[in-house]
Amino acid sequence: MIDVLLQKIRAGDQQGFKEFYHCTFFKLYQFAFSYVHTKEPAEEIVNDVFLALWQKRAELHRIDNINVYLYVCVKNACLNYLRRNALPVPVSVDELSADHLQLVADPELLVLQKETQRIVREAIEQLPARCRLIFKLIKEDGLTYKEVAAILDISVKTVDNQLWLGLKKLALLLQEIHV
Amino acid sequence: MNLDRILELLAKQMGGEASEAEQAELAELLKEHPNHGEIVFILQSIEAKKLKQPAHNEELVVRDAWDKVEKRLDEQSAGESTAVSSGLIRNLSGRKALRWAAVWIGLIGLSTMGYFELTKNRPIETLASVPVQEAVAAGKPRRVTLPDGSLVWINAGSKMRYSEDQTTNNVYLEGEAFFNVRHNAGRAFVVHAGGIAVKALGTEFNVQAYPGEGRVEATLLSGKVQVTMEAKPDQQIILAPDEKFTLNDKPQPAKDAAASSGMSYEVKPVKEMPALQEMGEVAWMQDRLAFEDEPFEEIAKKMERRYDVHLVFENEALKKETLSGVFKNEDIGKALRLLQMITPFQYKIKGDSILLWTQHVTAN
Repeated sequence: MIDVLLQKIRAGDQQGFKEFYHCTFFKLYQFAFSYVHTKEPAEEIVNDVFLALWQKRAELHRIDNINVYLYVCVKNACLNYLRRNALPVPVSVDELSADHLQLVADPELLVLQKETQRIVREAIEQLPARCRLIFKLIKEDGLTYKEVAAILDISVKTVDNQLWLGLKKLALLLQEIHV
Repeated sequence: MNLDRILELLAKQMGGEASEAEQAELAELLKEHPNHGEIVFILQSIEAKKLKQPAHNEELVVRDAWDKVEKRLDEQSAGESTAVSSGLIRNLSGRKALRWAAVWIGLIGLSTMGYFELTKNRPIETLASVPVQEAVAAGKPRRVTLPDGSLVWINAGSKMRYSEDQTTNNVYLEGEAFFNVRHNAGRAFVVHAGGIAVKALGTEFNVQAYPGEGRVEATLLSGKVQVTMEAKPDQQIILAPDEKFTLNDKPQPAKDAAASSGMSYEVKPVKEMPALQEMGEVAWMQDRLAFEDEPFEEIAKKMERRYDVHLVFENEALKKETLSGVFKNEDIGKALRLLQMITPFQYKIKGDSILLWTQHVTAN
């Protein structure tokens, strides 16, 4: 589906561009937010990336992986923004903020036991920021290990470890639930 | 430590790196160790909630952001020079930032005025067809776009009518709806419901006024609204974000009592329900029914609307049971069975009603 939209964009179809935007904007916006921590710059940065994409649409076929491309563009634009405005630049994944990402277990599952809900929520909140961010990129944004590694500039092994450690931590805390 | 191995494989699976052999191994291990099933199930169900911000709805953020992109695309094709290179980030304290201040944040004053002037002559983008009069039968919530570009989500069992007069865009509501008001310079936007009028001042808010409930509520999420009551027109109540106005038709002890009419109102802050990370008041927009420490009879009223059924209590005691929970994507049968797991009761379907009763009666 994304491929079809990309083809439309390449052909100059603005409606296709709009659809692609609507599919992709929000997760990039959240990603930008992890760097810049404020709404307006995050929005502007992502919009600029999309507009640049539109301007360079004739060369779209040269992009191997559109996800990695967009995320990296956003990341670089964020880093530029932080430097221009003399704000602290995150050096490692650990320094990216994930406070705005609230992970929850599907409430449908936990509709009843308030105690269960509470334990799960607390367990998730105790995950370190980088865990939460990686969880989010993989589980919700649908990125693969390889893509996350390329975007965050870390090794695939690190991504794997992070996710595994996160799951282990959660499992440990969840084992308090006697079901 | 087979849970470790299970988790290792689960991580790989989530990341799209699990080979076929590994996926098979994971399935096998889960079968062999059903005691770990529950935890794995919970882990698999973890999802990232949306940005915890005034915009409780991702769509609105995207819509407003797109408006800006579209504007710049228009400018580009009109030949104006708009510098867009991936390295260029405008200094946000400039004039341009003021023009593009997002409406839904509810910024009042100079910034929003600048934005509105620019949108005056733009055709208003509609995400749905543009009806003037709307009604929603019991069932699912529905979203419509009003002629002025505002968005309205109408809950089950509600109806709404829109009309414009010289100065104001009016909405007449019976039931419950959530509004994202698009400002029009020089025009007011007023929702009339259950004897109150809620005037929007650039904003997102929820209004609940089901006939026969004896209660009208208005909850503000972002921006500013002014509430007036038909019974006391000289009194104007301004709500701040995360505040809820409740008007009770039944006599109740309250801070400000309209003594003559037996009506009373109060304004209090609302907070998010921990399970949802958003206010229970707007959970219906995600097609969820959320309740926290509410008496069963109140929940039953909501369920009646949601499932289009009639619930009848045989015990007073059962009515008063307080329950908490969230329903999503389920039918009435499953909902009742879920509730049975937290408080013991029986139910039986009789015609188009469902009878509810509890076996043991506790002596009070």
